[in-house]
Amino acid sequence: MPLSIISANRLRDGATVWRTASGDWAEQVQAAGPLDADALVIGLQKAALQPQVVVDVHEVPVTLEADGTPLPATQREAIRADGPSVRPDLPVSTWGARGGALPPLPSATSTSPFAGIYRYDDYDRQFLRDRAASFGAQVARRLAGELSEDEFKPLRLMNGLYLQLHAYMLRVALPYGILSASQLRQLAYVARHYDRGYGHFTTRQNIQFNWMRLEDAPAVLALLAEADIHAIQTSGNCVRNVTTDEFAAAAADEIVDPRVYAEILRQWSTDHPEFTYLPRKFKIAITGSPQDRAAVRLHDIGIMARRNAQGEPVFQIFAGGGLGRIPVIAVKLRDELQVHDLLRYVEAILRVYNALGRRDNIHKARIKILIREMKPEHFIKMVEDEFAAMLADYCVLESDVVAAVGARFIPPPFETLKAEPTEFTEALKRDRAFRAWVRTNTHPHRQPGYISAVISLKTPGSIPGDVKAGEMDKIADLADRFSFGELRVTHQQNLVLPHVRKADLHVFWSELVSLGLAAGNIGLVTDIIACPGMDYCALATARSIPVAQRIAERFADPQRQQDIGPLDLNISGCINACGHHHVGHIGLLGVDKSGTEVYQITLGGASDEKAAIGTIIGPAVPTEQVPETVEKIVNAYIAHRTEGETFIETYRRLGLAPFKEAVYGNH
Amino acid sequence: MAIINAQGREVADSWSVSAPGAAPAPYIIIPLAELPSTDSPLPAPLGVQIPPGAALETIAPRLGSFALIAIEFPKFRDGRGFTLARNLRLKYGFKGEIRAVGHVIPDQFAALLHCGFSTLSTSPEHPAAQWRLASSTLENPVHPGQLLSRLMGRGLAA
Repeated sequence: MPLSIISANRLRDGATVWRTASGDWAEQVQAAGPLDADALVIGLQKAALQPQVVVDVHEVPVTLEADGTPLPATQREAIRADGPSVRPDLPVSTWGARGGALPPLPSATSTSPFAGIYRYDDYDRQFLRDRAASFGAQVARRLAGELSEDEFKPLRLMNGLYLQLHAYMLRVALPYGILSASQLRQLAYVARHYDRGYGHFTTRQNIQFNWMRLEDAPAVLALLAEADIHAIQTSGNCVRNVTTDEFAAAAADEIVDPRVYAEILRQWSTDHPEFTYLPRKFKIAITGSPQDRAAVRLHDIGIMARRNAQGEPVFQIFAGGGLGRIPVIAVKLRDELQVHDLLRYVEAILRVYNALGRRDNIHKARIKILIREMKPEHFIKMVEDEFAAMLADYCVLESDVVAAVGARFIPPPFETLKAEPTEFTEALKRDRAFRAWVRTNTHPHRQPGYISAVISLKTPGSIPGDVKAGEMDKIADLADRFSFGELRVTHQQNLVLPHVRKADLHVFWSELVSLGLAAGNIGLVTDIIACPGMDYCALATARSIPVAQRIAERFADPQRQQDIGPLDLNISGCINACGHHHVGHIGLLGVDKSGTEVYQITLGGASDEKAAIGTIIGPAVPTEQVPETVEKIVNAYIAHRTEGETFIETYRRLGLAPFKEAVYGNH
Repeated sequence: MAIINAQGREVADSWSVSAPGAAPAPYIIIPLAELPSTDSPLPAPLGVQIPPGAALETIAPRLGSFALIAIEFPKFRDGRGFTLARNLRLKYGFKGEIRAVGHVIPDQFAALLHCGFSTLSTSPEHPAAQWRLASSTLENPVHPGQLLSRLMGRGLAA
């Protein structure tokens, strides 16, 4: 006789709970009462009468152990019962209540006055405080039954709060990926006192806390507000966090400072009355230089700065790009949009999308589907008509607004330095390991004597993007010491210290070595992008993290990684593609095949100005064979490459055939 | 079902929704699909109720006949009504009453007003008292709508 138990998440804290024989909710799966088909129907009916106690009530098929303990039949439910498989040190059962008085907030004592974040004034700060208070009132109305879960869900999503497997997850915005050391300390404080001691940097330049309680969330938002950080519109069917390139305002090849326009777009989209209930989420990316480091062609709207014939900055506008289950490269709408028309044009695009985007099928609701279904030329005409019909003075981006926002970004007090200081050149000559790290983990700076340095969060064997609270504090100290208190988060889930004096770089690197954060693998095969996967995410169908760990371990030898050279390897745990597998030179997509995880492999994807969607190489391979299969692909590249040719160049020259032969041929 | 004005107060309402097949009469709101053809004279004042997918360009020539336009919200998550109201105000210069009917929640009050709605019709789940509460938070002068409106001023107003 098939048996089931009933599980749910507790409304007030998100904890996983199981329904006992007496109708209570227990925190351990062992306490669940196994039910036959008839008892299950009655149990589910009774549980449905408790919407103010539990959410996401569902049945879980189980088998019984010899002693009668129920054992969830699926991997997802086993993970819900035991905790993340990739963190055996974090069993669900030890996740207890927080107690005692908390220490003072880091923001009370720590400032990073020179960091290149948008500088808040009292108005901006009060906006966040009010927002946190208003979310507190919404939570109270939900707990009191004034708002249904159906009504509350979009409201909590617009404040960054998801319900995942083990708890609520809070996604905090790091606008355009820039944060100060002082802000990083505030995030460490949240991780330490309101979560389980760590955070996860995402591919959208945000940070996620995986163990948040609903009842704590308004307090957490309020304390983040004290450090000028928010979680507004990090989820929901609205305009999301605007992303840009991680070397903004430091790169040598920049035409405009993309931070200024990203901030204008953030303020324009925050609480936009018309575009807060869109058919689906909406992502905008902007890059300030002709080299696309923000994957603008893979966003709902992509903006790229260039110069027109008169030498003035103008924007190239793309729309309808995206990954997910139907990956699409964006179409170009405008080659040269005047700066003062930027918001008007973006409004025109969103107005057409909000009116006509599909709302009958969540999988067909993104703007890329609308553009495909109505044909790009018709879509572009509608946007142009909408744009032309706007009142002449509506939403014009005047230069004084650009200047006012620009003035909030304080230029770092750079010193006049020698371009190539002897400390730096000597260290390069003397120290081979340093030299290797500099080759991969730095980026040229436009200010002579400075360099941008990347801290890899991909030390082989670690969880890509995860940082412990203690590490956050130490990295914050390094940012204060070496980079004017400023940090960046990359969409590859690493951190950047944007403005390091070259003369100090060896000292900085030595500090990283002692912290265990000196992996010199940026852009190499072990710099893997991976989504959180089934250990944390309610949508995932596979666990991407362990696969990333095994591949990184296999290629751990630094010399070997250097020999292989630049290679983007991206892993997603489901078709929603948060791990950007479509645009990895090697992409891995985890799927569930009758209860076991297998990985589909694509080759040839790219997210730069030669953006391309990868091609599936052949049948999916079982999880345990993934590292070996990746190795075969890499070896095939090494066998076929010409002098100085990178993996993607070899692929573009030869196509799939030699790789297919290496993976599936008879050897 | 109560009618709430832009100040969040319940107000007396002279409008009623037409019964199916009934002839147009003053202070009646007729569904768009049942509107008589353009050649027959219409009573005044007249209201029309439009679905969220309505194409405004098709009714634009007749906007002058309406004192009230009711916009349907089948679900509060369906945001098409916001764009309809904005376009009625900005693109077509409609000066009459715009009313939200169907499923809207008090948390959307500010957005409704900013898009040009003048009134809304309450649902049993969200009675008048909840809207009064929502309107009291609007009195906070710090929040004129979008965060950018401080810098853009009237350039963003509907």
